Amino acid sequence: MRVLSIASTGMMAQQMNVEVISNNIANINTTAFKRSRAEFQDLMYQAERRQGSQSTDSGTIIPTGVEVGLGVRPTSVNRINTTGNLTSTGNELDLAIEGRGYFNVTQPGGETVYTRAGSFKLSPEGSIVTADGFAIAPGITVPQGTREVVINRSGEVLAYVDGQAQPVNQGQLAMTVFVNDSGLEALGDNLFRATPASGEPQDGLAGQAGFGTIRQKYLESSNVNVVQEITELISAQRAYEMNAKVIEAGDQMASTMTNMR
Amino acid sequence: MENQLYIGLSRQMALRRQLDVVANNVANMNTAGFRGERTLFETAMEAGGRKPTDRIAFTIDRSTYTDLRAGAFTETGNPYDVALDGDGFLSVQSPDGVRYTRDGRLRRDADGTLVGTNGYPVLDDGRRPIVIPSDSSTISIGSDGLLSADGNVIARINVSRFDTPQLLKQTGDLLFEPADGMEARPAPDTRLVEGKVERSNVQGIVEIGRMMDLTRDYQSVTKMVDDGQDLLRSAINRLGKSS
Repeated sequence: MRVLSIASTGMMAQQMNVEVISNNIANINTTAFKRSRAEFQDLMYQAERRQGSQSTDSGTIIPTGVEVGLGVRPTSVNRINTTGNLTSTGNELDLAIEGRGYFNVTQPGGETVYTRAGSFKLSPEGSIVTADGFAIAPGITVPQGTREVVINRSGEVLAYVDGQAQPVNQGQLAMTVFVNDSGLEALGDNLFRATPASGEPQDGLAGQAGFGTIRQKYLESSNVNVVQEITELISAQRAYEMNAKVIEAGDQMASTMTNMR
Repeated sequence: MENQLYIGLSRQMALRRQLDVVANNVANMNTAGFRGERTLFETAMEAGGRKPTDRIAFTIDRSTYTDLRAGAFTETGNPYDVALDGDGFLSVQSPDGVRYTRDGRLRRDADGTLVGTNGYPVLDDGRRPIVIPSDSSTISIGSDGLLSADGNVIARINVSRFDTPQLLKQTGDLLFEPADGMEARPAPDTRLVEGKVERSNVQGIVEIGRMMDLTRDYQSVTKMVDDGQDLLRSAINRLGKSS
């Protein structure tokens, strides 16, 4: 029976919806996390009686035929790249990007990946690294005996070293933008990789046209809105239940038929 | 006598198809921009018999039609999402030609082209794809469809309406195909609402009610056929006694 397969596509879709929502909620406190949205489309339609064909008995044209849709399918899990709230942390190596752009992270293999989670640390050698110890490109090292690190809006790193009045410019953080942020591949650990769908990485510096600016001592919160997620969750759950009911009804019809003598 | 069986069968087939339609509506309850479907029934009179009252009525599901009422809007905050307030449709360039949709979940692809969920370009008033310059950081879509990037107007998103939208054919993927000779007209009364998405117009409770109706109908038709068969069987037994 068609009804069983149609309703099961509905249950599968809603299950996936719940999975995506639960991942959003799980990451509600993850720095710079971007919420995802499961997107669905209707499947093809089977024409039982095609519109526009001639009706045999009266010879008239059938204005609308009988079309039966075959259910729903998930088409994409789309990352919504709105900027999360900036929260003040007071930590001088916490950086938030206000606007578009990603920090460049060099992985041990030499590959460049991208992140917006700017909760950086100093490595034992004094270079700026991510929480997992990956270097931020270009490699920037803070000299021994640094009292204070100041990172300005365009990403220039200035070190105030003990015994020196003038700060020392240690370099400028690289930044990259993409035409289609949603096309980036999420690697976990707050990292993203460029793909053909995201467009070529466009390298530049903070504050240039089309690039965001850097805010020191701030972190970007996740853009997950708990009220929205819970609402979506309830709606997904109800839809799941209703699809289950439809399966039950289809099954009941089938059993009514079998019981006929 | 057998007519009862066939009439019952025609009704049962129609009911099953109707349940398929309900199932598709429920499956797409959370599909943005989806339009539910409805079934229309008709009684087909079978010619035969001497008097008009001898004619037999069969059930035919004459057609399905699309329920074109608008769905509720939900706020998404995503600047590329638009909901259409009014009876207009967005037009997209599919490989098979221009198609129309109410699905306003838009995005930029790798070339900066504004595309819909299927990756098909959304068309502007001149029926051209809309390309957003890659260095623009903020885009906004006005209620009149004017799309601007960093404050500069780039294009006007095409919004079309049809005099007889019922003749649009659903092709899946949330797209509507116009029938031959249908003309897309500008829809100045349809406003675009940025940052919102139009939900499916399926009302779950209504569909479940309809579904319950269908199962009960199905049971009673089956009962009717059953009873008819019982009658026939006992008639055969009684009248056919040879003694």
